[in-house]
Amino acid sequence: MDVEQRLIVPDYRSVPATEPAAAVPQWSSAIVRTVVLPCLLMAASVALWALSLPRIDPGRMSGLGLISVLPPTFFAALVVLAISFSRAVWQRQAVSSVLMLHVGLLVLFIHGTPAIVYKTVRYAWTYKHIGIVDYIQRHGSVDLTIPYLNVYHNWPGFFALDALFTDAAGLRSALAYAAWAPVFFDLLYVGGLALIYRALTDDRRLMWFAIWVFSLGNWVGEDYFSPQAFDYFFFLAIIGICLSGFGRAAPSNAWFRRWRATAWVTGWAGRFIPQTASPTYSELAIGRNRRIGLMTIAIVCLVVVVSVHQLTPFMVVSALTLLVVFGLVSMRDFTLLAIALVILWDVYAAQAYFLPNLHAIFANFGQLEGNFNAGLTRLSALPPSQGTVARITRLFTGIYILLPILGIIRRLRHGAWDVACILLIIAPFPAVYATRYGHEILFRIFLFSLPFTSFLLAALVYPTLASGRSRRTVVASSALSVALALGLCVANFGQETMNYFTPGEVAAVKYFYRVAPPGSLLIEGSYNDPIPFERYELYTYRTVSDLPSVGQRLAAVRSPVHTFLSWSKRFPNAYVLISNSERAEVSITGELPAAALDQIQAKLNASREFTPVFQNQDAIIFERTGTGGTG
Amino acid sequence: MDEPASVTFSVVSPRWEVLRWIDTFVVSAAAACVLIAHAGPPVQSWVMFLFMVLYPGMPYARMLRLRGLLIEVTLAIALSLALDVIVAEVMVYARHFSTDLGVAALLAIALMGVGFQVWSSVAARSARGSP
Repeated sequence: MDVEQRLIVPDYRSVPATEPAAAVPQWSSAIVRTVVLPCLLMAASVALWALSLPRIDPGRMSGLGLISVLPPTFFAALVVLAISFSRAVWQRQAVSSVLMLHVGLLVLFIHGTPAIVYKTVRYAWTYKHIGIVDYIQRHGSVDLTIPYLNVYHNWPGFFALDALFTDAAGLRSALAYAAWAPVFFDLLYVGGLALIYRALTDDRRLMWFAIWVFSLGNWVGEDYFSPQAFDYFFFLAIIGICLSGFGRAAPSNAWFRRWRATAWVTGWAGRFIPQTASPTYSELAIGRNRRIGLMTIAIVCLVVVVSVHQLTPFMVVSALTLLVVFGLVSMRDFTLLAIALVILWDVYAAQAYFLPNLHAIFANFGQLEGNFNAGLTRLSALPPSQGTVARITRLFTGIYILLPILGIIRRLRHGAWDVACILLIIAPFPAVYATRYGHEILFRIFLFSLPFTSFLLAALVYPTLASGRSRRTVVASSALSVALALGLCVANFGQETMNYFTPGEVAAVKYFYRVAPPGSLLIEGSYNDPIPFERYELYTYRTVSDLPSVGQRLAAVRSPVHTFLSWSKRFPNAYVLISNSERAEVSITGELPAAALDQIQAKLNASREFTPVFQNQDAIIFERTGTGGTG
Repeated sequence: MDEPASVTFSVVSPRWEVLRWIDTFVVSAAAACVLIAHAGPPVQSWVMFLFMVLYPGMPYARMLRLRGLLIEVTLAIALSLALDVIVAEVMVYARHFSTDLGVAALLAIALMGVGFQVWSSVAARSARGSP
């Protein structure tokens, strides 16, 4: 028996465990099947992928994003890898390290390709995060009341760690490694998922296929160099520790029953929990010392979760609360500690941000429909190529909603009732009632549900230890994997015209940092620029697309010279940056009319008040002539 | 005894269990050396990456003697990164951010873990050897 505890899944107990837990093939034919052949297929996929790389020119991307410049060999590499994995995981004596290698290659192909071919760091927010790391490197502290990006100064854990690592590694800036953050984080998630899935199943095929399905479904792009990507690993680790070390053999909610005022809830909840259980899987089997050790690790992780990101702690609390209320884990005190730490951090450590912004954070509290729709783009407003990307992405997301439901039904037919998984899928949903989270709440809910929807989707293929033994399973899982891989390419790479910054755009920003005196104002068309990644607090930033009302934005587009002069009155120097990435963003998001930035650029070019001081094919910088007082 | 005697929790055989502190010691020593010598990237970057991601927490994760290398490494990484964050955050809030101090604290945590690990391995071995 593993030390990792399982929740009660009665079908596993009734099926004889015919497989050794970590079997090593004994015969040469088995070694060929489980090691040699998968390694040859993996080598072939790596060769195909390596052949693709020199042929990818991100500068030629169309509106469909990176997928428009990926050569056929890239997709062939994914198909070969998907077939190889589906075959390897199906083998009776599959070797875990071979399966891990497949997942590692998938992560490398999907998330390593942009890091290799772009030669610049992806995502505008990455540069903003690097700017905070740079601030801590130079100041050795944070400024809780700094006007710009102060949210990060109030949850500084991730940035403090990166400042320490950047200095200790002998690097000048986090720019040196930030492009590889998605590869690093997605590999970390594999460990967190293994911790969770080993608590949910004895079937290694199901565990590894679920990890594979998760890696194919993680399209929302929250795995870049960011506190939320970092904190997500701790979310997985905490849930994994809870289920592994503190999952209850016989779901118990006795403590809750004692709370008479809410006894009816317990009675209702208890009806949904299977009461059959094997005592060998009780929490007592792990031993007191190990439970103390695991609890200590969980508490340390919890402290970090609370101090790194704003949303993740609420997701942890929501998941723990449901598991505790339904009596699936014995971590009531830990859950209360989590709630106390979240409150303490928000109202004490982060009060400089939290209290002044309380109204804004919960401005949409209770607006369920509005919050839900805020995350959905109006398809008719999108350019045709982006409309196609959005439709495929919705279809792809729909697969991760519908197939898990079929997985639940298939498991139920075999007598397995995945209560923990279902509760953990539900757990993030209250957030949509509370906040829009910058129009991103739907994506975050999808992300925090994904480990558990992936498990149930994988369970559709491998519902029990006894099933999924025929070759039809390999064919079905290969077809599913290939379809998901292609869907991931569209969903993950579909907005790369916005996420990719050309070397020319980065050169423009570096020019600004080189010539702009401290105290200058930088006006951007939209937020989507590789800025600010160094000495960020020395400058002030204003953005046209960020103006609160449509009327104000259109007025700025109609008369940019007048607007920018009025903005820059109190600044000794002022600059305006217009770039192709800004154009791509306003085109995708619809924050400004499609030609708005071209109009602004033309009017500034024609004016005497602004002079172009830097220009290449991707970006242009104007400097205000004269002093602010003359404007 | 915490668990049934028939259950093997360690990822290696008990014979080698007592030697499972050596990699922590070697990587910690390498981290100290590259920092003191200012070896510079890429050597310093990779050594510090390996140390900070895995080793402050590795000895403590190993003391749990969990089965499965992936699980053990995952817990080691979680604990290591968490300790890194806590050390860095304490320095930031104390307005006393120092790379040398931060790495020294992490080295101390790792080496203290090695001490516990050796002690617990020897104690477990003695317990097995005694009648």
